[in-house]
Amino acid sequence: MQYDLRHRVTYSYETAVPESRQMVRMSPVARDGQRVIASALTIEPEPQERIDGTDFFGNAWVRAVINEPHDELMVETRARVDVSRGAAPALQESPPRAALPELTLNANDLTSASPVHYVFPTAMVPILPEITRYAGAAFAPETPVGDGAFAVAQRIRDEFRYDPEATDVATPVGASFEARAGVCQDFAQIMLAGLRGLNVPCRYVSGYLRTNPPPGQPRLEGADATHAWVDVWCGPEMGWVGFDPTNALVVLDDHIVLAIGRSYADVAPIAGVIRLFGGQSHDVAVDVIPVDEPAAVQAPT
Amino acid sequence: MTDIAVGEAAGPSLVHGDADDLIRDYAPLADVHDELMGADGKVRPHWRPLLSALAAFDADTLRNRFGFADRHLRDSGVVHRVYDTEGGSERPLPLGHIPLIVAPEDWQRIAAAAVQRATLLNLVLRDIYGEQKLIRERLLPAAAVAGNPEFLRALVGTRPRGGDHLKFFAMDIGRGPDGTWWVLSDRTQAPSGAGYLLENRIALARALPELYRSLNVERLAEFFGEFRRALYDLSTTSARRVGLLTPGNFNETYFEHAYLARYLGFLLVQGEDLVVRDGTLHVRTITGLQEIDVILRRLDSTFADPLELDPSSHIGVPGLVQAARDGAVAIINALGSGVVEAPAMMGYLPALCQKLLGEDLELPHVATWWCGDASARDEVMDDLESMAVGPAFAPHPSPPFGSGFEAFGDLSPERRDQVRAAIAARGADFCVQEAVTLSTTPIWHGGRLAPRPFVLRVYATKTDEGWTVMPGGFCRISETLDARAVTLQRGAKVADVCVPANAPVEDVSLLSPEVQLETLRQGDMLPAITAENLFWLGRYIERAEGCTRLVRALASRLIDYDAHEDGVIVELGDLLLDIEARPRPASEETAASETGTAEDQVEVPIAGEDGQTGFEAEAHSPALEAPVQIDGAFAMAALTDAMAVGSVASLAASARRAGSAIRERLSPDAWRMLDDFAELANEKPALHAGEAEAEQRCNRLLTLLAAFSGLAHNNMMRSAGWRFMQLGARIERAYGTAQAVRHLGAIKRTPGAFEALLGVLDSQITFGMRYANAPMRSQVIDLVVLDQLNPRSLAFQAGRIEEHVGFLGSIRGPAGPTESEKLSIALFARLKTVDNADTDNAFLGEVIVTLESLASAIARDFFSAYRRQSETWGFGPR
Repeated sequence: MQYDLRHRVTYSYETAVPESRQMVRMSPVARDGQRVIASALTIEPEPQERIDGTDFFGNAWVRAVINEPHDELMVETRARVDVSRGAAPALQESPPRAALPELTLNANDLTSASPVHYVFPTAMVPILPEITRYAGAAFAPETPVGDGAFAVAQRIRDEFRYDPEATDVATPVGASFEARAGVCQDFAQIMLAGLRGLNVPCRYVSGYLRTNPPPGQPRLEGADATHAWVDVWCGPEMGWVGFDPTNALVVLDDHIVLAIGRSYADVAPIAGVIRLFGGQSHDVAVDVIPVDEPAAVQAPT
Repeated sequence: MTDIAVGEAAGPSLVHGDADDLIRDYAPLADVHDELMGADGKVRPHWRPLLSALAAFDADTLRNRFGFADRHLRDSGVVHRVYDTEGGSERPLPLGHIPLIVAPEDWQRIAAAAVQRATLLNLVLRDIYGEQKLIRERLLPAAAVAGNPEFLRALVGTRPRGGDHLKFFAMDIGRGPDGTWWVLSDRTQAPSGAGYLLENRIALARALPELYRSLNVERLAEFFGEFRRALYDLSTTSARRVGLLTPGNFNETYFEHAYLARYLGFLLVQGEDLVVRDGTLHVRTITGLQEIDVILRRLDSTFADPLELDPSSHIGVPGLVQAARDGAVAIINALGSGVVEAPAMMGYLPALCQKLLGEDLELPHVATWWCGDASARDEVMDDLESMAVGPAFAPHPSPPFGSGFEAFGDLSPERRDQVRAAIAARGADFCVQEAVTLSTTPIWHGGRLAPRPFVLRVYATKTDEGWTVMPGGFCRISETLDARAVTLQRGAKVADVCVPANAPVEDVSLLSPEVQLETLRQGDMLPAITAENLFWLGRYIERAEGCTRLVRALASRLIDYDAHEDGVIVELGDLLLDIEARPRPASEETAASETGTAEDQVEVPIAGEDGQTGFEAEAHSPALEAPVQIDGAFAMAALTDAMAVGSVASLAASARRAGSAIRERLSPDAWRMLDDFAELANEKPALHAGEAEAEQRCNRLLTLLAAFSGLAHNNMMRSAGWRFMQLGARIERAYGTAQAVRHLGAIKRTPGAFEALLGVLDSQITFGMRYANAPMRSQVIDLVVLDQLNPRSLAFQAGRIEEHVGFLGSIRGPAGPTESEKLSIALFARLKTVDNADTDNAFLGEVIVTLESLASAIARDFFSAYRRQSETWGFGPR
């Protein structure tokens, strides 16, 4: 499946910002089952310094410094991406959970592909006994990793309320777990904390999800959203398999990967430092358009 | 008492009769090695010179000398503090007065081990952040690295400038019952303690010069000289600058950072002093951005850059990682170096040493099992009773453990179960260590020597010629007789460490010509935040002095009460209310701020938490209900009540805060005066203390202030920093003078007002010499407003202000006059040309407004353009 992506973030500042330093991770890259046909990242105003690079996890970043006063900052990515992951793997053939610690801890690989990076606690995803127990209740030690991971994703989908007002970008995983509410970021991080507590290597994935407009209606422009889910390491043979706890899905061709890491902190689309004297507001617009679909229409305002 | 032979010249003949007294009751612990005394009960040869030297003092002298050393340390402010794990509070580690003497032959072994470990860990770091061959070849498990929060993925593939991750290394060692030294842990992140040990040595060597002469101890200065040279050699810019990056003055080791920066001639900087621009690291100074390319890092790596490391860090430098990757800056030790100091690494070092150096470890280290390795874990799980357990990646905690190890045998049964379960569930988060026993060294306890367990930290630095080891160290001593290493993680006392030299030692001082040159080069580098703190220190000190003089004038009139002077008493009280030395009654609140503060907001970096931003406090003190009674209690409260933002107590505390942020720029004497002043100002008055006590307190406060100003005047370099402090003081004095003249110099005179004005402005003697008559307004005005020769007059202040601002403007380059220059020129010109008759309150109000604009302009011209205060950090929208 081919998609045309557009992801635009616009900041508006009450008073001009004299200096801004941003780390932008908004360019999709080629990965297993995903090919980037074209991709371009625009930043306005034009940065005085702009460096492109790739981080440890293989994500593309742009570091931009703007030294001129500006009251608006716009970052936009446009890309055409081909996704073809094939059929869902036979999850029941993955090794039992109990076999994973040995497979992980004996690894002699420290590159980002290695599962060793994804079993330890991080600042944003600490290992908390209550979340480990929650995940363990749905995931017995002898259960194949793939099946168990799906069960945990399903439990989260069933028992958590989707509520954008319940959390924000910095809500600790313990708080969203207790509230049993949040958005895709929270659900992904709860699943990470639970699985890592059980010694299952898993990583945070940010990206996009194909949505379908109501039957007979055209797609509204900018109405899609960014998404987050979890890759689980299902042993050396099967490797990384994506699970979407927001929708209780195994990730196939409807998900487009933007960036991967240990937690949101590794993949934040924009993180930065500005000198700010007044308030600020922002606007995010995302379009995920299957290439063979008719053009979108402007959203009513 | 001085001619005591040295070193090896052993033999019972040297032991003074009294030396036997010193050790009569000295009882080493059973099955524990003692440094001083052998198993045979005899003093070891390398301790004999020390005992002989000690025996030459009588008990009183010794007590006095030790007291002298304690005072020296307290006055210098360099006291090692640790967080009390139980109380969660900070406590200082006092000096144990008896140095640890390490025999030269022992020292050779220790030094060789330090060189070997530093070399080894440097190579391991290079591999972890480079080829990762050791991991592929299974000499080091990938998970033992990946699980460590100090493994910085952003630095993988980066080779530090100069090639070395480590330039400064330390290891903690202890000695087992059989006399063997053991390595307890490695320090590669940012080894601390070097400043303290230096100051400990200086304190004791000054207190007991005879003793140190007789011991013929290896000096430390040469090591520090080499360390400094190694860092300067890393600089590739013509400016040759080295910065010491500190987490800031709220950190418990800040005093050590300030001390080391001063001693080594490095520029002390905090994250917000630095900025990465065009791929280069800069210091934000009063003259704009200045390049700097070598950083001695005393900030943990993870906090160093919010953009690529811990995004919640507010004490780092955005872009520093990229600058390090580009080789634009050499950071010592390199970012990410902390990864090899984790206990999880230890068990793999013997094999790594064989692989990388082809040799065995010179000193064994405490047997350590990383429980992420299933076979290692199985080996020790049944043996835990005799072991210590802790986080695999200490100092990063792994619940249920904090940052340190605990003796399993000491744990409650519930906690043991908890620990066992935690290890069984997630072994990779934990390490098990053999519980080791330490040796003991003597401390001075109740007038005699007593053995106590200790840990010794040994330091090494890498120069062009390789690793060199400091001939001394940092010794932490336990308060109790529990000699198990696990109970001495922080220590209770610190002691100097002496390595007797085989040959007479030469005097080496860091004040060699080459060194001075380097120090001078730093002289023109004034970080903007430092300048701002100096400016505010000057202001607070002067404001405190003005307030104290007002209180004294009031108190003396209350003591010699004369009903004719009631009007003066009211005016003085009103002045004190105006400057918020006392809260004004609610009914008068609105009338209070008649001068109007149209100034822009001037923020104070350190000193400003109390909201004192300009001439008038922004956050007004809580208003009183009742009308104010101007009496002795009022006067005393204006000095001591820290609740009022303009009281001497508040101002002194603010001055001390501003001073502590620039500690490295004040001499120890000046700092002590500031400290004493703040202490005296905040000292609680006796119950019902009145005007007499207030006057007395004023006199003592003014003496301390005079001492501080004298020290600043006589000892501070006439650099830009001094100018800023002076500028703050002059602006404040001009303001105080203008206010006083407004109240006490009105045309409709109150009896005694002119005399009071001359007193408050310390000008009565000059006036008396010039005029024989009772003061007339025109004469008083001439002296305190217009006379450019009177150092208390407004015109004099304006002249100095113009001079300082002009100088500071000139070092900024030829960009034309700054706003502050224009204002200061106009102010001085106005005061030089005004007629005596026109100096009414309207004129004085105009002067005050100009002063306020000037303070704002200085902030804009020199401080605020570089401030990072208003930065917003964080992630974008989700």
